[in-house]
Amino acid sequence: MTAILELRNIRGGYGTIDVLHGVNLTVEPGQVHALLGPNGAGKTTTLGICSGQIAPSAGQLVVSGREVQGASSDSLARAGVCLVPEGRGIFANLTVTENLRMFTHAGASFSEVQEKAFSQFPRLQERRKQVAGTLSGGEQQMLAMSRAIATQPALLLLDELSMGLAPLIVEELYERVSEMAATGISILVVEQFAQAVLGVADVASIMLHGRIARTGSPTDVAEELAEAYLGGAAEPTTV
Amino acid sequence: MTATETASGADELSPRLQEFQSEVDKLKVTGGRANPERAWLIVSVIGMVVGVVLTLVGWISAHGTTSPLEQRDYSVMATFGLTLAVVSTGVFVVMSMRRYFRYWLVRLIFEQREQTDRMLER
Repeated sequence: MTAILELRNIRGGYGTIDVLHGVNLTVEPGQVHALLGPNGAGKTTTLGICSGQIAPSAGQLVVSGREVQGASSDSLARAGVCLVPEGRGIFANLTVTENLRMFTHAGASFSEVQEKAFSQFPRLQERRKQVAGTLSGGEQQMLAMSRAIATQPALLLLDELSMGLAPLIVEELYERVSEMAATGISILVVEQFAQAVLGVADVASIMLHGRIARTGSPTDVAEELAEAYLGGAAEPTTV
Repeated sequence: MTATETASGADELSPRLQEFQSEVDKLKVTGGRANPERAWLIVSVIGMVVGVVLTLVGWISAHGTTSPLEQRDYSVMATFGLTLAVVSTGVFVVMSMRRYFRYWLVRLIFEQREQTDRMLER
């Protein structure tokens, strides 16, 4: 079966600065792929390239068998690639209901979006009139996740879902991720804190200094993770 | 891959994946490049060199002839060269600044993120 997402020797970064130095990564349909690595490894940049927000300077970005480097991020989003970015990416000055109304871009009706969001996260219903910027971190992340749930993407890109959240909230969010994966959605999830995601992932990769250092089953990768983090940090970095 | 294998592969796709596949096939891929200023920088450097050469050739040639008709032609050429050199310099400065400010912006973003991480750790 054709991989839903494939990065072939991708290089890229910001302006003249390359952050990724030849990334090779494959996500199969229905798979949850965890991309782990320390701060500054290039995980968020990888997601930026996958979602079309950053143009790669070399290599091939293949989505569902087609090379798509150069496709705009909005056209990829309309096709079914959904990014939940680090920092949530919600409209902080709009209410929860108004935010949910913004999630109807993929064609789902407002009532449908509301129903899906409130059934998955009942707490959002209690806060529906509250301005999103005043919600707690966990509630903001639930709102951001509602976009992914409501738009039914084929490929979901999650960036640091657990950042700054209490373990119980993280657990709840990953339960939702697990449920989404069970419906056949392919998920590439980036995490700095591995324990949160390894229970949900089918495959895991470790990224160090803009390269994939190791790919394998979550249990194998978990064993090597501490060594990779410490070893990676000890390596000299070039600027 | 044979036609039979392709057909069986397509059968395995869920309706959502089939829909996604057709949406991806419809995507307009323009081959967008990273570092879009690079091409402008190259063009502007060429423009500057050509502009200076045209100006010098026009000036030297105008000195080397006594025919007013030819002198006027060479003056036009030199003026065109000078304009090309000035415009190319302007493009070069603007594109260099765009590159520099992008780099600066990225640095600011990264520094802000690190600061946020440090605050969260505390």
